Amino acid sequence: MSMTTTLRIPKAAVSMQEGTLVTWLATDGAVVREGDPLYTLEIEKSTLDVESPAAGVLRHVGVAGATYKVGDVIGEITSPEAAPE
Amino acid sequence: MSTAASRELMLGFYTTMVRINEADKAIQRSLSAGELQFQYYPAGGQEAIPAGIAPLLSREDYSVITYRCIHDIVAKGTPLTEIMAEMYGKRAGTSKGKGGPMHLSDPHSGLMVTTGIVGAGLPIANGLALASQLMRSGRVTVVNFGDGATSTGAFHEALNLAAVWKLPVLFVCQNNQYGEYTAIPEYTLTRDFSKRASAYEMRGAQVDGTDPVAVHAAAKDALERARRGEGPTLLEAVCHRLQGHAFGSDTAHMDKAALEAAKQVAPVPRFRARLLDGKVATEAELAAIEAAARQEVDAAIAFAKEAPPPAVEDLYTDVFATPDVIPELDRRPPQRAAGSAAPPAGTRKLTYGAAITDALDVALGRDPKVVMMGEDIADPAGGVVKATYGLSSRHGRDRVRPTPIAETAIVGAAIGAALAGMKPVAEIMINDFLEVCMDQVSNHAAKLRYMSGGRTAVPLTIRTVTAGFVGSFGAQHSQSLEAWLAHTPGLKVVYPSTPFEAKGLLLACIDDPDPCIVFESMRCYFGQGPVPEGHYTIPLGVADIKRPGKDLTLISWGWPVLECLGAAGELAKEGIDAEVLDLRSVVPLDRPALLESVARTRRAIVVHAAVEFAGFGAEIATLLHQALHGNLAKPVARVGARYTSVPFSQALEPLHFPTAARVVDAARALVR
Repeated sequence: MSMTTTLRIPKAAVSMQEGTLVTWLATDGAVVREGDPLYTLEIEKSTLDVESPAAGVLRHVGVAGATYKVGDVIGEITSPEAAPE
Repeated sequence: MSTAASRELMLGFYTTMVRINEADKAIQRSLSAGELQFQYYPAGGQEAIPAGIAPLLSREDYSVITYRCIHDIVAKGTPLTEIMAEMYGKRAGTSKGKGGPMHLSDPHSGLMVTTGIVGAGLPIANGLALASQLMRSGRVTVVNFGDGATSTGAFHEALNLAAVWKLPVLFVCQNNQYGEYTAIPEYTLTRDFSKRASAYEMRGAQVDGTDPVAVHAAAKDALERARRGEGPTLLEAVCHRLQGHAFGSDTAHMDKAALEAAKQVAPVPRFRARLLDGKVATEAELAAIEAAARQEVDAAIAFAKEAPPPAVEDLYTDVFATPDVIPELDRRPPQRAAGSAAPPAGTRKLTYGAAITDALDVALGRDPKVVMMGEDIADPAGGVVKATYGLSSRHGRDRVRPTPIAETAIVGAAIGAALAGMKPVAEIMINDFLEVCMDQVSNHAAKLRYMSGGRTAVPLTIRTVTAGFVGSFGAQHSQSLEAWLAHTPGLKVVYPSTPFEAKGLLLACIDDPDPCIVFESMRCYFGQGPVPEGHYTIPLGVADIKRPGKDLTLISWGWPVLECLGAAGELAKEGIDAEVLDLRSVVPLDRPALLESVARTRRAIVVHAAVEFAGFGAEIATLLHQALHGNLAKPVARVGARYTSVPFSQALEPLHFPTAARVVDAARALVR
């Protein structure tokens, strides 16, 4: 059994409505651990490296350079039953 | 540092710290994934503080916390399922999903208030502690706040009052080095917050807030003193925030070197190493604690995700004890028959002021839960208008408590005491001074029932005088602020005009399950009227026809009712028969009485002491226009105060306020 965690653009600031996925820090198909930096998000006047909420295989949906609304799906992480630690 | 802590205690600290840490991380994972979307204030670096204090408290002991809260909540014993369900806005949450991450309440574990307002918890903690002191329950109250809160007035007012009243409260300043995005040297020159205690002759102590053993020892000492009746302590727990202010915020405002250094000695891994080095626990034991915490958190998150959201009908519950008095839902049947509200013939006469004193005397005599607090209310002063004269002599200064001139401390203490089940009656000398403590009134008294999903309630009464149109008080003692209060859901706003009502409505407020603000008109204070002896109540939200009439309705409350009666007398000479409808409270609002009267007379003027522009009269006029549009002979008129501050000169004050003459003019225009 595997579990999929959907990656959405987080609400990372009080007034944030949208953010730019500046660059992916983990490649499409990479095996990531919980807490690994996944991508750089630019909001208003600052940037933030968003950490992985789960362990598993990362699949990109969003593209670097594009701007998304809070809640838009930009990727997913599929965790096998025995996730890499 | 105490080394006497037993192995169980040490493992208990670690278990709590790990549970906090796992909960904190899980919430941030959900935020990272975009699954949760709210402002979250991480607790990394502060885990050891509540973990060290927790074993010293039972569920009977109270805690008040602030919006950076996950560590404090988990340590106090609130089930993780309920915490996570609240974070997800679900009905199974601590507050039915209506409070959210900044407003969790769990009285079952003693967590009475989580406030989103910096510093506001301290005055409320005093009230919880006061209730414990008065009931001799042996309970202590711990209030947690950040270093940023030490700059607020509420902090200073609360410390001063706690010291004066020797309250069983522990003030825990979690000094994480930053007030939101601003570092300590920029917002205060204070280096040692615990020293602030000495300004109030209070005990202060500073402790390493990253070490649960040290925190435990310091808190143990303070709490034992509090339980022995030796008063409050300010404990500064020095730590370092390990992230930005909120989830997602960068750390540009933080000192990089200090942050890196703090991360190297982060409380959880450091304490873990200490347990291993000291051979307190084995690697396997600690791993088991960690696995159990992760499992518990994962299960709580899974529960929260699956749990149903609040139902549509939950929207209106918990505003008041019962939703039937919510203005937009209120469809109560008419409760009044003209004249029935009057006291029996032959009843002794009292002044309005004496009726208030009598009400308070009766309330204190019949219910030990009633406690009064306010500036100058004890003898020999007995209040600035003598409304409380004699009460402290008869009922004791424990129950009729003079306070510092500190409205935020007064209302906060009343809120806390009400949360603990007492029936406090706070006096705010003049209603203009409510503006000094509107945060406590409007953000806390009004909202705590709702923000807690009905788990807590604030059955407090605030008495306050309006000194309008008595001459000589001017702009800051003469306003009538009922519209401000009516605008915040959760407050009942009562405004008597006769001695009979001053007593009966006040007694109703004291017994009411919701916060009530009673406006006392100084202009009415010395007028006499019949007042029955003993206990009686006049139900809130029931208007009274003070003078029946058929040509138009003068709608008013408080002292302007006198002007309306005067105007009605003048109008009678001209053959105009005016009805005077005294609302007696604006929340609850007696909609049936308004509609019944104006449907009959087809003409109405709302007369109030407050500024006409954006006053409560606009609300009533709209209500009447919408309900009776086709039946009205003329649009509803308003006679309120002019759009000026209240002028001092007697050449001007009568021009500002609504007078009988202005009402007469408006009535003539309406009837012609």
